[in-house]
Amino acid sequence: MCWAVPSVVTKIEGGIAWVDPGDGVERPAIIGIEESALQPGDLVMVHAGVIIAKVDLSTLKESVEMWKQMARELAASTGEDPEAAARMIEEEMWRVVKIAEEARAGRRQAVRELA
Amino acid sequence: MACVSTPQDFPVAPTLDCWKCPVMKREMEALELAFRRKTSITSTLLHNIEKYSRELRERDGRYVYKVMDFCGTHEWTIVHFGLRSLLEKAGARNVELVAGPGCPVCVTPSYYIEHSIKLALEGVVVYTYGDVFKVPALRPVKGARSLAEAKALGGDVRVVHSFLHAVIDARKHNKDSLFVGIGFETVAPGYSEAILKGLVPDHLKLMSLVKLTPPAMFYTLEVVREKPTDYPISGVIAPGHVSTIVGGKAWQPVAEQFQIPVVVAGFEPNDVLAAVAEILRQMARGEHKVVIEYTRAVTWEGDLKAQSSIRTVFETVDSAWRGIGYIPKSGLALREEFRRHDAFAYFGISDLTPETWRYDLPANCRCAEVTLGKAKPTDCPLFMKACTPDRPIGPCMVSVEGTCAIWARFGGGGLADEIARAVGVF
Repeated sequence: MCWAVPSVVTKIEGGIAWVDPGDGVERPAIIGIEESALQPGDLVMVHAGVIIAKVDLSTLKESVEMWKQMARELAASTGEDPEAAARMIEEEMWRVVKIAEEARAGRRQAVRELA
Repeated sequence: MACVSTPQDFPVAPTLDCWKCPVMKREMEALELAFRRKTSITSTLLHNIEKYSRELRERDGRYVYKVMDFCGTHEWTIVHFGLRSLLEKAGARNVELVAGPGCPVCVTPSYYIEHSIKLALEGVVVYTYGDVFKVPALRPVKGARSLAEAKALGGDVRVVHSFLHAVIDARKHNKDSLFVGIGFETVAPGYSEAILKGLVPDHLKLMSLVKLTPPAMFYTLEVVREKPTDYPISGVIAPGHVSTIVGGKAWQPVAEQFQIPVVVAGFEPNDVLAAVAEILRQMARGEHKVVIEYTRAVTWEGDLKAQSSIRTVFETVDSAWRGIGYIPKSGLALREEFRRHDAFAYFGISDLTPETWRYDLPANCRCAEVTLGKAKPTDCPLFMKACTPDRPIGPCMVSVEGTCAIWARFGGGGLADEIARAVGVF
């Protein structure tokens, strides 16, 4: 029920948003969510031609913090270095956060790399 | 539901098979790449899962914890990435992932498909999503068992990727037109916003077949609980994108009434593993809360604008689910003030009622039980014998989100588990 594709909003005209899922082709989409919160450059999830969510970069970073905390706790319980485990997570996620920021800044190709 | 690969020019050659669509293929490759790159996270999650499942085993012995996913895309992630096998390898053999009703195409009653076929053969332009196009109806209409067959017989059936594309195409002609409006909460704001913004031409009528997931979740959990020979559902992975609209709050009554953890998860394999880890953690600690794992897209309140737009255009009604029957307050019908867009009113189709609904799956097809998590695809006598993705018999084998179609295309991790259990490997 839920397959949605991350895309960048390229423009909003007459209540319709144009989105690019990363292949350079813009498609029209109905704005299913709060329109005033949406502007060109925003990362959104598009499901069957409907924008159903705006992807929030700050909460993406919150997730990274959650993963790190989980890794710390696990490492502590097995006698490993908690900070080394957290660093490993940070390195893995840094790339994702960076690509998301680039996508937002207008590098559309970056959207392709976002899962 | 429905592939989103949409070339800018319209109309387009329909993409009938979403698995072959370039955007979806690229998405899958990106997901796989991301999964491989984040092995530390996966490993951390699997260790956590092992830890909590061990605690639960030490506490509850041979009890099996069933965790149900309510989204075809979650089931896709689970099967595609072999998460069932991964859980087993991590030592979590007391945890079973069960697929729930996450496929709108699978639960749309045959009655509506039959009426759409009839209208197509009577000269109405019928717009539909690619997976609805191929769904077999129970009874053939003038020789056509699906909209695809109606098209072959000369009906004007046009496959579109979204309601908006149907709107754009319909504006180019003045013929009576029908949009077969299936879906869950994710598509509902698309329908309501298009209507409220006045985009929909008068000759394009919407057959609203939208289903709501929280009532289905209640129903499913009750049904599985009533099956005395089986373990009840111990935790729920709630649908991530439905939750962008309805919010995490929509699942609070489920957690309260059934006293089980509910985790709203994203669609990467690590999202699903994180949900399983959190569900096991809560079970080990005796908690039953709603937790949003998919924080990058889902909030507790959901999108209030979308909720209000849906409420303005639609009213909640009792609704029939294919092979299952009526579930109270589980569907959306157009309100009286939007009657001019209503396909039922315009084409004189009397809607189903609990009295007129009849069991509508083909003989031996266990799609309804698969949908409710009471059976696995491999339990069905037709699965991969008479019923295959190329020649589907039941709706679960048609849609990209049907559990049978997913198991058929990507192999059933659960099949390996079953064989192992049958031969007493563990």
